Amino acid sequence: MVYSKHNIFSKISGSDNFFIVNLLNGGADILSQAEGKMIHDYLDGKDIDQEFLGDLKEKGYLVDEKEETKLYRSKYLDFIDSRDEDEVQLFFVPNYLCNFACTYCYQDEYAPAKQELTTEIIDAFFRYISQEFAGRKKYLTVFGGEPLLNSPKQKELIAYLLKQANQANLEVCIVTNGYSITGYIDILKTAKIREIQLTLDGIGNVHDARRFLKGGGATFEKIVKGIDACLENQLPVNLRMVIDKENIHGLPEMAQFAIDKGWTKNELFKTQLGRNYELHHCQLASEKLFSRISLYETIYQQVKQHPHILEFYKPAYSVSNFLFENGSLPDPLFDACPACKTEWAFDYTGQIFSCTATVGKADESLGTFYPEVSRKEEMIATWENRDVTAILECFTCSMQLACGGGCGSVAKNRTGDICSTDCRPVKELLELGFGAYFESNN
Amino acid sequence: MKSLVKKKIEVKTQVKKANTKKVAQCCAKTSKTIVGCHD
Repeated sequence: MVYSKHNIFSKISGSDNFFIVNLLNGGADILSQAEGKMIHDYLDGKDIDQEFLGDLKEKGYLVDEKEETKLYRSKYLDFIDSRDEDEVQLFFVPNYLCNFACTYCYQDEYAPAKQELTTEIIDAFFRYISQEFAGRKKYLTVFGGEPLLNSPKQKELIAYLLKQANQANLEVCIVTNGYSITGYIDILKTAKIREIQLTLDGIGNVHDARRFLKGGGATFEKIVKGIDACLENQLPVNLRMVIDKENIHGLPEMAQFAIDKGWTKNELFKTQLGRNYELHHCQLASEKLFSRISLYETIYQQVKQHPHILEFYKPAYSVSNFLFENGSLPDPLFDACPACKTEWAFDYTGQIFSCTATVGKADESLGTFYPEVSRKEEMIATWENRDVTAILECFTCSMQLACGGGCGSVAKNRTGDICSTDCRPVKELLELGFGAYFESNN
Repeated sequence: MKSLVKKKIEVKTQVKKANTKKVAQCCAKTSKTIVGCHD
């Protein structure tokens, strides 16, 4: 018997205890200080208590290597089967234009296309997806730029897009800055809206200093009215807050604001925090950016001081929150990148892309659905084949089944190769998460 | 050791036949949001 190569073992933040997690067999345990020391001793080749050794075997932390390889293959095939049945998220970008000039926009260097969206292009899009994704469960997400611009022509096009989505029996999500959404409520109510994502980066000036109109101008108040209007009209809201060191101090106030508005008690309201990070190009003040782990360390400290944040947002800390809420680990994650598998993106110029990270980048185009259908099959196959079994560094990493290799686009931007790593700080996140969800509840 | 797993762990060791279908892969069930799998 050997120590499983999928064990993730470390000390819990703010505690003398340790944790051990194994995504392959689904085991998760808290260990006392003495038990943690025994694991260290075992890994150092020392003899340890036989009873404890038996427990480790029984719980699958010590394994027969051949059996573990069989289990890995079996779980991998389960994963393949499962994603075959999973929903495909199809993004459609009606324009890259935006009325905002956010300080951290990653699309700001995209060259403007001279072409405009037409009903003919929308028809071609629905023709393509009905053929290419026939028989697959799927839904549509309208993305941008800003899709809900306040002009009669844009409203006509969005209304037409939603009408076609209804005809195709597709649910729709909208990603919008929220500034003009109140003028779209009646149009949105004609569709099967699954979710509307809007963004607030804080309260009042904190938000307005980051997400302002082109040419200047506050946006906070109008977006708040937009969120209220969505909820009043039974349109589900997913509120995103993009965070860096310049606005993290506003998280407790943001949470309190949402609580006071009654949003957090509304079943149609949920939230997500997004890290401000460099996707395609460097930002001017990169020192304001958090690393993945430093963001969650800061949130961990903020939650300790302001526990009401948890009413607004529950940090995942890798798989910690899932384990806390479900009493089991999620299935092994052989692939965190949905691009060209359960995610595709299409834009108003007729181009096809792998995902929202690549959509609009000329050198990332994977073909066209308009004016004619064409596909760069070799490039598509590279995206399709990306998972932890295709990335050499992942294969020997004990955290591969929690990390899933990260984002293919970030990895490609880093190394030039889609099949390379975008590592997530899984162990460090679990240290925080076990401290936050398990030790604090004892 | 204090287990945090409420249900019994299912350990399958039987290897299935290889899936020869063209695969379409998926995002983590734990990270499904509208946009957000990049980070």
